[in-house]
Amino acid sequence: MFVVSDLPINREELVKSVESQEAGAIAVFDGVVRNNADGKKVLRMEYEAHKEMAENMMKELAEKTMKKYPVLGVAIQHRTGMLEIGESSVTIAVSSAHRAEAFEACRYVIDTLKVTFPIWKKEYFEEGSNWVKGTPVKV
Amino acid sequence: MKIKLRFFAMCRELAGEEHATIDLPQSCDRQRLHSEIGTLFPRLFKLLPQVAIAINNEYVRGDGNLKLKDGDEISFIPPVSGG
Repeated sequence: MFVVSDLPINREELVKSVESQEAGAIAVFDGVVRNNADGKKVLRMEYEAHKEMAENMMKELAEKTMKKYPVLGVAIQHRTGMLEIGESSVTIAVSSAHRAEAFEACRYVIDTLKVTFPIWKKEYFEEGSNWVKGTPVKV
Repeated sequence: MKIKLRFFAMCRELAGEEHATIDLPQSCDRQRLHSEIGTLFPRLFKLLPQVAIAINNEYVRGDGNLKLKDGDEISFIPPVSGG
């Protein structure tokens, strides 16, 4: 399951999509909108994405992850649009026979997504808003 | 070649547009691309060294010339902050 959409993330559906009888472990990562950044109070966050490109990259990243780690399933959903504090912006579910690789692979997916995917976030403060500085993509 | 341009996030705000079209040669070096973009969208020029390029949803790897076909879409990908 690989989705970029402005709908709230359905964590249950994501987890269900990686479940299998052979999986003894499912690691789930939730990226959540936090109420502060750089010592300032954050009111809300807005996410924008190149949807088609990001969804293609999700599929490729899942394939790459399954070659790199002995995992059984990978699912990723990223949300776009305006998000309130406490809402999930991204959820990743990874299943495997044992927990060590599920944790490692899940980490690998979020770490890679954060520096390569065409997705941007804008922070809203009391005084105004700005795009998070971000990481120039190196390919 | 008639090329579609697509701007995201900071690029869109600096360009003042989400979409544009431009004429570019079939083999286009980066400098030519930057100078064409800089002429049309001067406020975007300074950011360009940090902007990655995708053609039809795939990142262009390395610094070499862009190989373009009529109707291709170039997306300008500023520094990313997803997740």
